[in-house]
Order: sequence, then structure tokens, then C-alpha cells
Amino acid sequence: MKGSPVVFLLLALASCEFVSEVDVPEIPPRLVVNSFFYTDSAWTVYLSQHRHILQENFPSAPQNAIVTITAQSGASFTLEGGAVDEGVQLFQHPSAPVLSESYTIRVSAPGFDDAEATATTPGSVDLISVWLDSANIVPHNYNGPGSIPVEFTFQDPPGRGDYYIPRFFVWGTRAVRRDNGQVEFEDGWEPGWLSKSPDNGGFAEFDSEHPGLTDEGLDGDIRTVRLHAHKSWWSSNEPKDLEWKFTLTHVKEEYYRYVHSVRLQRNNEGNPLAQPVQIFSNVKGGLGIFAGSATSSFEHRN
Amino acid sequence: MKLCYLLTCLAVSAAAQKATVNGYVKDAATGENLIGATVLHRSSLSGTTANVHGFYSLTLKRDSCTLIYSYVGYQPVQLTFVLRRDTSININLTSAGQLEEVVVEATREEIQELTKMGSITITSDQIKALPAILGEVDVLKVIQLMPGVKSSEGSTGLYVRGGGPDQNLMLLDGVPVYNASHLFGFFSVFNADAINRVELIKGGFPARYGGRLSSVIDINMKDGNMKEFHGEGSIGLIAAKATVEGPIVKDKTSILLSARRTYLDVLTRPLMAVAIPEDVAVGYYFYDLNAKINHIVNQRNRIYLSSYLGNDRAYTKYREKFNQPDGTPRESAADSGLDWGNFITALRWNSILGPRLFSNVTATYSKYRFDIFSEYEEQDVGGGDRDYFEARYMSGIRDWAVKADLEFIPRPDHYIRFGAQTIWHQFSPGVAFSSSAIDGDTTMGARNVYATEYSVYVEDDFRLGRLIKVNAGAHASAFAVEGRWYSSLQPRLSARLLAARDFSLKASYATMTQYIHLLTNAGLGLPTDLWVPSTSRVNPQRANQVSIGAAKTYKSIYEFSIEGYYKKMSNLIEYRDGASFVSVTDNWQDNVTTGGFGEAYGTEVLIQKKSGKVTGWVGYTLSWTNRKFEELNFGKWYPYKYDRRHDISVALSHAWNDRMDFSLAWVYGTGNAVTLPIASFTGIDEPSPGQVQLWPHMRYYGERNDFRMRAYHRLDLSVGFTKKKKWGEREWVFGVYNAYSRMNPFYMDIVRKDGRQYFAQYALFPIIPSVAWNFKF
Repeated sequence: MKGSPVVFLLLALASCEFVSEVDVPEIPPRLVVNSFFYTDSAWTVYLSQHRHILQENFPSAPQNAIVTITAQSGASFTLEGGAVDEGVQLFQHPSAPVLSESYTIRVSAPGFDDAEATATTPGSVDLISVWLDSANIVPHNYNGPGSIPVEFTFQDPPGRGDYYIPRFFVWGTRAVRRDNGQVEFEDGWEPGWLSKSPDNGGFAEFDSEHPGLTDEGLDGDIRTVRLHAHKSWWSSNEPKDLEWKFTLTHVKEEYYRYVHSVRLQRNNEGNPLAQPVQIFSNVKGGLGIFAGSATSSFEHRN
Repeated sequence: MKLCYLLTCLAVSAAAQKATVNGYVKDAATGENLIGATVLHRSSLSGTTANVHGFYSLTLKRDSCTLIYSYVGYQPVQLTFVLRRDTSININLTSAGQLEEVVVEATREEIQELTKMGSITITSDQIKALPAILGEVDVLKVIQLMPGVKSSEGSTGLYVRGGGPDQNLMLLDGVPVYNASHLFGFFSVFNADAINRVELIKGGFPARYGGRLSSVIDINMKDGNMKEFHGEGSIGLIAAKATVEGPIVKDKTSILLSARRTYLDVLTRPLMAVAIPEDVAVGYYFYDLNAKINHIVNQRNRIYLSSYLGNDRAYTKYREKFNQPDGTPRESAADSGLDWGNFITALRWNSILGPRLFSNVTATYSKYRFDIFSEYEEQDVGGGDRDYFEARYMSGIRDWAVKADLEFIPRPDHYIRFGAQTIWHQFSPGVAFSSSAIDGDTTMGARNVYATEYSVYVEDDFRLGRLIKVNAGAHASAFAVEGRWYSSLQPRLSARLLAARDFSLKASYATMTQYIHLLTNAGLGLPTDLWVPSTSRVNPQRANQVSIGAAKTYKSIYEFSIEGYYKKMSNLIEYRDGASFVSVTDNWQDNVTTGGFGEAYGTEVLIQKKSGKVTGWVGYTLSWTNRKFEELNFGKWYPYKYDRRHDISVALSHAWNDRMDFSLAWVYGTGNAVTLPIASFTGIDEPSPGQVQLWPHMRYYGERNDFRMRAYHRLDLSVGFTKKKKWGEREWVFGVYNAYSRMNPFYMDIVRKDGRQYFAQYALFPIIPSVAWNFKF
């Protein structure tokens, strides 16, 4: 709504622009280490290197990199390097992380400073109950997509720094584009999106940029949260035979801050008036993220 | 008890031996008050100065006495009489320009004698002596040439001693002005023709001022000529202005009217018609109206009514006629644009309550609003089948205030001020309205917030012995908003030690509290800046500032001052990462991060030449200013955007003779601190549990504000040719803005051109010549 006059103004200002080129300093080569880990999956690390902001092509993945992970218990293993795609090399190890264990990743490669990060696999959260408030469904209309209240109760572990990412899925038929470019239809869990409810239990921020709920105000409490699950074509007669799934992913602060900053930067891409977004990183000597998560889920199938 | 009685008797006895002379000091030709005029008792060498209303009061022994009334540029008047009782004497001084041949060496309170620190007074003549920009002289542009004051290209935003643009209290005849920008910040709303005097205070704030952290810019409008009608005006490249002042009833009631309007829109209309054949109009204009009525009720009472109305409008209009597929002729009209402006008015009552007691009671109203609009209407030619869409975004602030200021002058060397103020604020932090033929009317956005601000102050200016002069006081204020009550006690202290006749050492301390905040975009001077109150989530800003300095006068011609300061600020607010003013329809509190800390420190040097053919000043500032927010820059300190290590300004004017004068202004400043992406890298996200998504173009910014733009420097020149005419005086002024066409940086961005990417630094204004024709009668 406000866009056109503002753009007009900026054009008016830009009409007397004079441009000159400036140099931006190089920074020393840095490793980019990205890994989200879970208890039910093998170790996977995506390794790449940063590139100068004006460099358009992807630089090659760091050569002869060594990626090792050491558990707090003392166990240590080296991940095996695999395929490279667009400058990112995949490193894997068949073992899986253990709940509530702390891990340190160390990455070294010739020509780069060593990168290191430590993170703990969060304990799985106790999802006590989940229910859909079918009586209060809002069907899709001109004012927006349909929504249905979803209420869940969970137990927050003692202490601060816990974050929870709720997600909602509906079983249905969806279109999937295959690698060969063909579009096929298949049944599966299709994600809906969740939004804040005015009576959501006191959580201030939850939207497309804030990926989860903080444990602010909680300390080992049982908390009930009410959100709205949205699907654009939702109608009032669906809930009675709806098959749905609710998941609650427990993450720690580094995971939350990283994903929040990534989404914030992506949402503001191309907006010259937005404040710059610095991406969080817990990787010392490099960039990226090394963080664990644990997901609890609840399924309702007919 | 006996001691009390004795002391009372002594005091009464002492008072009985004294009497008070008071009155106004005015310009003989215009009746205009001469603010700061000196009244000196010849034998005791004790004296006083006229206050901002031209009033003075001097208590002396009942005896024969000689008083000397003087003001710079005016012929002094010496008056000898026997002081038997309290006496009122109004004095008219004659301007040196009206005398055939005079040597005017008026005494004035020199810089080393003043208690005030970080304070600079600029007269209307000084403003007009400096180079005009596009034919317009501008008050705020002159203030930007002072040490400790920073600005950015194309903006009237001021950054004083490391503070933000919202931390300046701009007062026009005592009424706050919330948006001082015209033409996206290139001009200020203050029309130099209607201004009498400007005072800038950067530190050592007297207790009578409050409500902002970093500066007070107190602008007094002219009162209006009491003797005869006069006028002045100018026609420049982009604007014309005219001011008329004169008596409605001679020596009793005067009026001043001043108007200014740009005509860029009118001048560019034929060009637009050629360039764009369709029925399209794009334009911009602004206008100002100043009016003031000054009425002398009697010897003791005066009433002033002053108003300012200003508006900016940038617009596009598009008209089209077309046929529908069935052949029905239709017509459409689309209008969009921006509209913003201030309206302020003040009713002031000056009263001499007693020989030594002066009061000023003011009722004020101030309104600022901006409106972004887009309208579309379509209907059959001749009417019928109408379809329409309208969207608006409005924001603003309104203040109603009453204020009482009293000045009690028990002795020539003792000045007590006290007063109280209440301001009722109405904040409208952003309301969106849309209306269409299909959906009807919809209103959304932040609701109005009402708040009340109270303040009281007491300020005592006194001597401790012959060498030390102190200004001590306290300002207490409170703010009531949405059931919350904030309060603050702000002690103030300034002192000077007269180490030699022409040299003094000074020190000051001030605590300031600010209850309102400005959410500002990157200093562009756009009207979308949003004034918001302290709330339960956003606490009032606070600052503590200490400064020390020295001042010296050389031969009463040169003034030299040096000041060092340290300012600590807390509860600052800032846009969060990713936020922008385009997203103002959201709750503004969600867009800001609060609880920020700031620090600013530095040294300012100012050398002024105040009389002679060549006048002007050289200023230098060495400074640092940093910020710290828990949510920004990962909680680490970072340089504020307007952290400027070195800042130099030179402002000179040379009057060859009555017919020709020349002026120049040169500024240099370290480049602004900006946050630039210096690298890109691959990031990840996890939209579903276990499903990783790679994002290959994430930007790495390094530290916040870690990069410096190129240094800013600019030279402005102007030369004026004046000629006396039968009807008055005319002057041609030729000016050059940015004389050597320095490409000063405005903002930076990545540009892709000719198959490669590079960082481009954008500049706004190259060399801009101008000409203006001024007249005075």
C-alpha cells in the first residue's frame, strides 16, 4: 500500500545520484561448517568456504579437509568426505548422536584457520497432550486463509536457554516435482503453518522469522500453548476426518539464534531500507552452525 | 528566634537602602527586543543582560547613578539619574547602520564571563552572512557548522555530541517542532527572514530546559516592527519568500507575516509535459507561513500570539480515458504521494510582576503529521458504474502545553529562575486505512497513545566571590502513559572561574531524561520518522554529561573556547536487525530493540572572530560515540553510525564595503560508519525435522558499522551585491554549493553492470550554482 509513494520518493532522490566505486577489504579465508544433528539420524556436516561479497561463482570446497567430532564422553571419530555440489562438500559418519551429550566438532583444511564448535543434543521434550479445537475452525474466506486452533501441553526442562519449534502437518495428496522435472502426485505429510493466538500462553514472538517459542517465564513448568494452524483451502467440514501430525522440536539457543537470523536476512533480501542482519554463528575460527535438536511428535490418523 | 528576627531586620534594612531599575531594551527603529543587551552600572561595574524577552532588572543603592545600555552594533546610551525608588526605564538603542559616523565599541558579556558551557548564540545577521544553498540561507545548516554538531548530506538531522536526531529539542518561540525538514531534509522549516536569534546548547544545560538528551535549539522569532511597516523577501532558483512587519497600532501592537513557497513543481510542469506525453503529473513543493502579533497591554504586560504552518507535498497524478470492450467510454484518475507538515502556535503573556520579578506564561499547541496516500477512481464518462480504491497511512504527534517561567533578580549578580510545565501528548504511531468499492472501509494499525508530561525546575545563577560564578539547578519531570508513571530528578551545575580578566575555566554536569523517542530511517530526512512515547516496554532515555573547558577573549575581537565532554546514555532504542520504516504498520514496539547504552566523548575547539570586515569562525571536533544493545552486534559495543573522528568547519564572511560581501563555508568530516556485507557463504535451515535446506547466498557483515565511507568535505561560496534604491535596498546573491563538486557519499550498494559486480558509493549533490534576488524596504 505504502510502497508506491515511497518508491517514488526514492526515485526522486536517486534522480540526482552520482556513483563512484569503492574497494571492500578482503577477509582471510574462513571455513563454513554447517551441521544440524538429531538422535535418530547419522552425522552430517556441510563444509564450504566463504567468498568475497563481489565474487559471483562458488569457490571450490576446501581441499583435504579433516572433520572430526569428539563426544564429551571421550569418543572421537572422523567423518568421511563425499559429494561436492556448488562448493559444498558433504561429510558423514554412520553413528548417531546421543541425547543430552555434548559434542565438539573440529575442522581443519590447508590454507584455512581451524574451525571449532561445541553443542549439546537437547533432551526430548515431554509432549503431554495435543488437541485440535474443531469447534472454532475459521474457514478460508476473503479475509485470509482458514485456520484451526491447536493446543498443546508440554513440560519444559529446568533451566533457561530452551527453545521449542512447533510444526503442524496434514496428511494429503500433494504435487511433487521429481529430479527429471516431472510433476507427480503422492500422499504424504504436508506442512501447514502456525501463527500466534492472542491467548497463546504468554509467548511474545512467534512468526515466520522467529522459528520457535522461548522458555522465557518458564523454568521446568508445564505449559499449555494455543496456536492457529493455517491451510489456505481449509473449509469448515474438514476437521472431522482430518489426519494430522504435530511435532515439537526442542533446540538450544545457538540453533534458535542461527535460524532466526537466517530467516530474517532472507525475508529482507533486496530491501535496501531494512537494517542489515548479522548471521549468528557458534563456530570459532569460521562461520556456520553446529547445533542439535530433538523432536517429539503426535499423530492423529483415522 | 531572636537570631531569625535580627536577620530579618537586617535584610529589610538592606533592602530599604536599595531600589530597582527595570524595563525593556529595544531597537529604536523597529521596537524589536534586543536580547542579551547589557546594562552596566558605571561606578560599581555591576550589570545585567536583557533576557530573551528583552527585559532587564538591576537592583542598586538609592543614590545618583549612571547606567550604560549597550548592544553590539548599536550606539550605547548613557543615562544619569538619582535612584530614589523602584523605577522602570525602557531604552531604545539606535543601530550603528543608521548613524552617519560612529564608533561602536559596545560592552557585552564576553565568553569567559558566561557560566554556560557548550552554548552558542547565532543572530539573524550571522545566518544571512553565510553562503546560501540554492539561494536559501538555512538556520540548521549554520548550526551544522558548529563544533560538536554533525549532519549528513541532504539532511537537516542533527547529531550533537554523539546523540541521535531525536535527542534535540527544537523550540520555535518556546514550542517544540517535531519535524524540521523540508525537501527530504535539504532545508529546514525555519525561515531565516522571520528569525531574530538562535541559541544552541550542547551541554551544561540550564535547569529550565528538559525533555531531550543532547541539545536544545531555541529559536526566537522576530516580534514585528512597532514603528513602521517594512518588508523583505527574495526570489531564488527554487523558492520565493516575503516578510512584512509593521505596527497595527504604533508602539502598541505589531504584526509580522512571513511566507515561503518552492516552485519546482511549477517550473518542471512544461518539461514534464514534453517528457511524458500521457496525462501524468509528478511534482513536489513546500510552503511555510509564519505569523506573529505582539501587543503591549500596558507598561507591565505584553501578549504575543505566534503561529507557524508548514507543509510538504510530493505527488503523482495520472488521468486516462479509455473504452471498455463493449465500447463504453470510461475515465480513470490515480493520485498518490506524501504529505507532511507542522502546525504550531503559542500564546505568550509577559508580565512584570514586581521590580525584580518577571513572568512568562505560555500556552502552546504543536502538531506534526504525515500521510502517505494512494487513490484510484474509475467510472463511465459522465458518471455511473464507479469503482474506487483508496489507501492511506497516517502518523503524527500532537502536543498541548501550558508553561509558566518566572525570573527573580534580587541582585545584579544573582538571577533565579523557576517554573513548571505540563504537556499533553497524543501519539499516533501509524494507522492504515483502506477503502474500496468491493471491501468497504478497513482501518488497522497502532491506536493512539495519550501521555502527560510534567516538569518543574529551579535555577540559580550566582557568584561565589569575585571570580567564581555558578549556575545550579534541578529539573524534575514525570511522564504518565498507559497506567505507567515514570519520574526523574535531573541535577544541573555549571561553574566558571575567572582566572584572568579575559580568561576563564569552566565545568558543568547535567542529567537529562527523555520520554519520547524517534524511530528514524537511515537519516534520509524522510517524513516517515515516527515519534513514539515511552511505554511499559520502552523506558525513558537518560544521559549524564560532564564537560570541562576554557574560554578566552583576545582584544574583544577573537573568542577562543575549548571543551572536553563525556556523555553516558542509557535506555536507547534502535531498529532491530531486519526492521525498516516500511514495516511501520506493525506494532512499532515489535520493530525496536530497547535498553541500549551509548557513550560519547570528545574535544571541541572554536575560534571566532566577531567583529571587523572579516568575521566568522573555525571549529574542530575530535570525538567518539559508540552504542551497545543486547540484541545488536551480538551484544558487543559498536561505533554509532555518526561516529565521526575528525570534524572541521570554517565559516567566513568578508564585507568589502556597503555594496559587496563575500562568504564561504568549508566542512570536513570523517566518513560515516556503515555496515557492509563483506562476504557471502552457504547457510542452512530446517523447514521440517530432519529436512535440511541449503541457502548459498547468505551475507556476512562482520562487525556492525565496521566500514567507513569516504570522508565528507564541501566548499560553499557566495557573493552578494547590494544597492540602495529609492524604495529600499536590493541584493543579488550568487552562490555555489559544493564548489569543487566533491562526490560525497550518501549510501552504498552492490551494483551489477557490464558483467561484473562492484560496490558503488552514491552521491547526491554535485556542484550547484544558484542566484537569488533579495529586496528590503
